[in-house]
Amino acid sequence: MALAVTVSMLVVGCGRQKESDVGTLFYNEVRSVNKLVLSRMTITKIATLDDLDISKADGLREQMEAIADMVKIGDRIAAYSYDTYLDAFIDMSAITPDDIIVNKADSTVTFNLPAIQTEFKGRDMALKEMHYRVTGLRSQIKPAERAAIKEKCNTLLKKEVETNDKYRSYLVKEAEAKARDFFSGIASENGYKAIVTFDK
Amino acid sequence: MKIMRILYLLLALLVAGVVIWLVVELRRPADTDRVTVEDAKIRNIKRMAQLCNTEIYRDIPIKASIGKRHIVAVMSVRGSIAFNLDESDISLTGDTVHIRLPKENIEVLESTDPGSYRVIDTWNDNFLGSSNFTTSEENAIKEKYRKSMVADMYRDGTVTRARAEAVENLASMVSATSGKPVVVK
Repeated sequence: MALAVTVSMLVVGCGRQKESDVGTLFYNEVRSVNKLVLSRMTITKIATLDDLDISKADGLREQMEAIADMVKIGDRIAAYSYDTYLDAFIDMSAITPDDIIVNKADSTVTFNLPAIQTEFKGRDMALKEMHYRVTGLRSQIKPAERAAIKEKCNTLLKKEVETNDKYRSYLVKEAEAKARDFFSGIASENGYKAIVTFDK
Repeated sequence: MKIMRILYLLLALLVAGVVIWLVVELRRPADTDRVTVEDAKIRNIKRMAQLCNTEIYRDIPIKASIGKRHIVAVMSVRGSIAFNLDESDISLTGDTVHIRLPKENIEVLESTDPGSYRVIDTWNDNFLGSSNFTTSEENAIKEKYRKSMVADMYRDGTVTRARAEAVENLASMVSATSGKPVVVK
């Protein structure tokens, strides 16, 4: 019976609805989805803030700023980190009855699942302050500066994930393994062996 | 004499050009040149089986005060309501199918879309007072808004609707496939 329930869960989608508060000042949307999230990757980004090193300054502007930093009294150094989450999931609403094949003769159930998709789920709201040392006449590090640091980290992180396939391939591999475990467990309850395939 | 005037004029124009260029260049914002970002590190990969049926996208206006210091910002967040299927329990007792839907897992994270956290203004009511907020103060303010959003989701019925939708779908599906009465808890 559990198999029948699962098959039904797969083929009966929740449908998609949108309830947007159009016209309000701030964006607000509640969206119905039907996702089976199978794995999550936690990625850490670390950024440090320090005075410009004149030997590494690039261009006149940075050289002038590096000189200005050298004559300032005190130090201004900080290090921050935060986590971003990358999820792998299958869209259950994309599954049709034809994608589930029960073969009683050899006691197998074949699940032809949609391709595993990945998405950035979000990032920590909080920044972890790993180090903070502002001395002398130097100004404190302000919220707008921290927001800019986080924005820079976010931009670079997305670029890294887009250009380096290792992030998504690890995650998809884990998601496929979990999907196989999950559907095999359900099939075995009914004495069936699961064959799980994914669209590419 | 005339040549000298032309030279002075050219020199003045050159100096003015350099000054304007320097002013524009040095006043340019984006003060992230002093920021060094390390390569991303994978901290962990976790397997799960979470059925997510609701996603919430919201821009939260933040306006908070600590003493005479004030901050105004906008944070774009992404929330989700999901149910951990590894914790769900479906059993058959007699002729009745019993389903226990696990407690909803509500998650609210800052969006990774560009510009998802914008600090608009910070100030102090005292003329010479510091308008700065420390990292922990700012984190505490954000956490307060996160909790408030979760409370709103319970209050405005978003969680109830998500749960009811999950229960209804499960019940109708099980009933349709088993032909037996279904009790969903």
